[in-house]
Amino acid sequence: MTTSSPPRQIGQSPRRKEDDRLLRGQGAFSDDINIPGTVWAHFVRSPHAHARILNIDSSAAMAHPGVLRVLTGADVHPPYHPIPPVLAVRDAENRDNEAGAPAFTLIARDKAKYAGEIVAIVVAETREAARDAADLLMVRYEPLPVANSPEQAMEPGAPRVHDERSNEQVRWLKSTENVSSTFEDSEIILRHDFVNQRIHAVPMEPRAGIAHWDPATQFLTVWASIQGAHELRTQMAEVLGISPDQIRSVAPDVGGGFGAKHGGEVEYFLLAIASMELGLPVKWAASRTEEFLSLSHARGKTSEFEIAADRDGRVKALRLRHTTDLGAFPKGATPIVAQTSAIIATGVYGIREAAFEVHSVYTNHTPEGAYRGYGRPEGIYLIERAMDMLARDLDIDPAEIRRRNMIQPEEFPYYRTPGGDIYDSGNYPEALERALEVSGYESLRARQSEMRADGKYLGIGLASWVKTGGFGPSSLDPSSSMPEWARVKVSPGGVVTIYTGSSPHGQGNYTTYAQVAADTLHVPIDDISVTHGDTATVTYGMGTFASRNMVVGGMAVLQASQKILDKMTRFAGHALGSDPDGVEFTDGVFNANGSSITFREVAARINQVLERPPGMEMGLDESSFYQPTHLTFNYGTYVAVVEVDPETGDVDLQQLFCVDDQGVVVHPVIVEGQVHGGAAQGIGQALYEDIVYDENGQLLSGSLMDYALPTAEMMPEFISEFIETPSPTNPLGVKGMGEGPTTGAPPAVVNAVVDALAPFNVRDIVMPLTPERVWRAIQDAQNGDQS
Amino acid sequence: MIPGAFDYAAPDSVAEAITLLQQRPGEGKIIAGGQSLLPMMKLRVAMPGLVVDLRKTRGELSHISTDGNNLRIGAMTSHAHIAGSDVVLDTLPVLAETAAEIADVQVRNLGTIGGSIAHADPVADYPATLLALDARAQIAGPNGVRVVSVDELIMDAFITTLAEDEIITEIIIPISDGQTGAAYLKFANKASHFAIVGVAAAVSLDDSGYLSRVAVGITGAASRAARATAVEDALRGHVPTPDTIATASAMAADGLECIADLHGSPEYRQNLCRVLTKRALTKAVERARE
Amino acid sequence: MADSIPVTLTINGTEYNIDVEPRLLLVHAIRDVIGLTGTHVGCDTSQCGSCTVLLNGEAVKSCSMLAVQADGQQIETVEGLAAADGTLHPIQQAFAEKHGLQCGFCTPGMLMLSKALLNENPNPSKDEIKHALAGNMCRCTGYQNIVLAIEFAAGQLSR
Repeated sequence: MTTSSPPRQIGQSPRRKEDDRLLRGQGAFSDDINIPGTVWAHFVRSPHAHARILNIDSSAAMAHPGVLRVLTGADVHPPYHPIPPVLAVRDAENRDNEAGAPAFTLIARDKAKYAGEIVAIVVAETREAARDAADLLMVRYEPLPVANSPEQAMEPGAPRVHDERSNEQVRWLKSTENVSSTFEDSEIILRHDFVNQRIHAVPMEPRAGIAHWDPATQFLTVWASIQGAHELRTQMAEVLGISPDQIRSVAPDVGGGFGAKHGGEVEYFLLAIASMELGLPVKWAASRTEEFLSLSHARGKTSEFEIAADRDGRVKALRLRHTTDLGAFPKGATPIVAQTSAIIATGVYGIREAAFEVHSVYTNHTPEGAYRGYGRPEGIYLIERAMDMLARDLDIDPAEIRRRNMIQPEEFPYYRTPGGDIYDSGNYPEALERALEVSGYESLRARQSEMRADGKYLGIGLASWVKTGGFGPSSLDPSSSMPEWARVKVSPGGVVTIYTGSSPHGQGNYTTYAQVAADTLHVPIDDISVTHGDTATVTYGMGTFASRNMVVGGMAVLQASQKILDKMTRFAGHALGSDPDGVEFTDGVFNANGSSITFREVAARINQVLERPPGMEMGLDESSFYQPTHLTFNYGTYVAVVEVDPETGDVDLQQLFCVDDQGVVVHPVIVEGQVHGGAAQGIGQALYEDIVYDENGQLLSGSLMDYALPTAEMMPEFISEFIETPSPTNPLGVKGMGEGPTTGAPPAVVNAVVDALAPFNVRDIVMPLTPERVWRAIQDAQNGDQS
Repeated sequence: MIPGAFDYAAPDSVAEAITLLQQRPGEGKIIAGGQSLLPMMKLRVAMPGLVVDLRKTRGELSHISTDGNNLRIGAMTSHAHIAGSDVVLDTLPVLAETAAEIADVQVRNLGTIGGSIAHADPVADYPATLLALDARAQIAGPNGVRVVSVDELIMDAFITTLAEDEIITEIIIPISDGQTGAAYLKFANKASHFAIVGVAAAVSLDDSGYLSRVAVGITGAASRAARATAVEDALRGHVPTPDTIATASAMAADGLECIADLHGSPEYRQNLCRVLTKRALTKAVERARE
Repeated sequence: MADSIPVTLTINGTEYNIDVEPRLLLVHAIRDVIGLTGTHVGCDTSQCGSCTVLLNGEAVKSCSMLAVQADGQQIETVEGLAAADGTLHPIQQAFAEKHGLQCGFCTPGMLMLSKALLNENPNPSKDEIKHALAGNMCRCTGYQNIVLAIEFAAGQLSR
């Protein structure tokens, strides 16, 4: 068969198919779903970070009008189980240690391990009654000493989060052979401690869900604000001790997730248990306060970082001790994500020798989980800040020092880093040069000098970064290749329906998957619809995470579409009296032997028994699994421009120039939107956002009154450009991209602020760069107190 | 987030509202715009047994007028109306400038000046400006009407001298003649948009260019808004120059017990007091000279 | 529980007579009692603006108002934006045209705020738009395309 295409849809920016409904207020988010007879749950949470639960008296709460049930830890026992770990956790000796990982308990029984952990669930006829009765629940606690930071939690005699085991879950070492000797032989050694502060994803939609156990059919239906319906079903079956076949899980419209809604959440399992106990649909909608307390946090890492270089600024070796704050429980892959976080610290540079030491430690904090970039942004932050420090120490321009160290285009494909990542393809210097050009780097430097003469402090910050896409096999975990599934169905009328396991929550899959299928099947995207997020209609799925929508989910759509086309071609060959190889598919028409048959005609006639070739089944309905064989690596260079008011420490972030290579760009407008949004979140980490605990492990920044989520006036002008080096790992040539901007923005912005303050000799400021921290850094530097 | 249950009344007059409050001692809470009270009720930090809604008293309490010497603003007047009022912009534009700095559009549409003063949030915007302008509040109670300065009315964080059955009805602000200028500058908490520190400066220049009146009100820095009297004393009777302003502004935090929270330590707040005082005075003087 | 109070709300031109507890927030009256779920709740503290509706033409946060306070008032929600024949309002069209939404959760609040803004200031600058959005949060877009959409809508509406 040969094909020639109509104008390709991939690379175009058709209007998003999902928008119309959302713009009319007709989205169906979890809290919008109401079923008759629904009762309401309210979760009672521990006010203490660490406390024995001495007694729970629920009599007054039970007596409150409308209250149906109060469940405590004593009620949640087998056949109900704790949440199984998503990935095997390795112990301190670097062995698989699934058995050694503490259970992620659904509800505290004897001890509360973080402020916000659920100790009881009150179910009542109305939302108001459940809330009012919660105030009547009497819980007696005995507060315990708190493990309030990973460093403190690792000290001998520190309070144990889990009584039965030490606080350190992972201790992992990896090194190339000549790290020590390279350090010994190097003229320049730069050493610095960095902090990637704990932050919170804050999807605008707080979590919500309904669980409905029907006793008559012994069947559970769950609607929940999650990134993958299928994973929830799998976990739900294990937690509830029932078969997955007894569960339908639905992720309806989801108002942002960013990783934090990846994987089941204790609240959803408890809703299901309450529903099974009562035989009624039970609903819950989280308040924002609850989200801050209990939806996973992320990024909390401290790092001792060292690089060895020569006097020309060529970095030869790196040493990193990376400590991550897991919070009270191992959520998702967090315990081992610290490893992927560490190994990417060689960044886009040809550093040959590296030693990594990783500690993942339990504390009495809210559990950490995935958040846009999941570990990689923290690692990139280290090297990108260190590169700027080295540049200043050696009086080399930050652009030049990057240029001297970058992995060269001829080292691709499949460049192997000392940490074991295999970068698929790229042209890192091109992204750098393009970013310098787009930003007018030279003239920015000239303007900076002029402004300094006037007592104004302009700063220019670069960050060259790399970030994984998809979830393919890596050196750390060769067995970890998460597949995705797609089904493509063509109706007799020629309408195409795509079923995907990657359910979007803002990423635009309704449109981009239609583009992928359209290019194969030559169907207008208006004739293609996408179905997702419901285990009743989608057979298999992994979900949306790890920048995998296009690189894994899109590939499954492509493969299923190709199966459809293959079958249609065979049918067309039969209809046109030709061997399938002799059929040409052009602009939606199959041609052979001088005659033709259209796509729609094939779709209709393939259902006629007498028309099909012998042995061919009726219908056009194909599915496919795509199993990635590699990780992909998107990358880019960002340039931030700031002006700092030294009297107040206020940072005015004026522009962020973003040059990204995510391989083939399927929908430029959507991809640019992802750049803006991802960079905005990275800027949030750099300048504004901070999860702060007090000395008792109490969350201080637990509302939007205190956690500074960026608003429009806090955002710069974004200037986004793409370069495209197709990934050799998949036929679409895509690399994934949603998490790159979150990786690139923080170091670019921090480098810019520190650059602005070079005249004051400020060397580093810990994120977020709040006005007070910036002001203090200036004061300290002027007092000769180098940070 | 669900407030605790309460009884509700929406009286047609201030007098009726006072009667309702008298009938339920210790339980009543006035709701004006609700922009401070409702978030607290949702978090159950406030759980009044009776909420008395003033929405039907707008005829009595929502107005902006002048009596020649004073600007008079009804307590139920929204921040948005004050920010956009021609009368305010003609007489005391700094008050419009202050109102426009409050929170966001939606909050300004519902929130009221009386409600804001009665709430006495130490990081609210109005007090800085109202103190600098020597504003007074007219208060209605069971025994009639009294007038006190805003300075006397606000005692401490969330505490006023209002009795339980008293209601602020009007804010009265003297209009100064001659060569005057004023400015309000705020350094906002980036999360809540409240002031970490906000400074209002109001100046009058005599015919020779000397400062005949200097007033500096500071909010956000301490547990209540206050006048920076040391700055005022240092400048009064002098010609404002960059140097005299800078020297005086260095005293802006003198005598203030600056508070500490997530968004600023006492030392940082002291710094902001000095920097913003300098900038606000500079702007006020520029405006006076225009 | 306090006694229920009869309240009349006119929403998108339709009059609703409902009995509510005094503590019922306007947003819950709109969503749970009347069933218009396009207006969303994104926070507790009056920061996020997802619940923005128009009250007598002015933008307010319906989570920071009691339903009883809105008795007898005119309310517009996102469901009332499109024309009777279903044609999207120019502001809605502009958000689609400029990719001003991703997950769509904050969008109803953004649209209502935009409508109030453009009523008051038909030709706002970029800075004026950003300032007007101080009480509306979006976690997906970085706001740039929202600002572009509002500018574009202003152009369309003034033609």
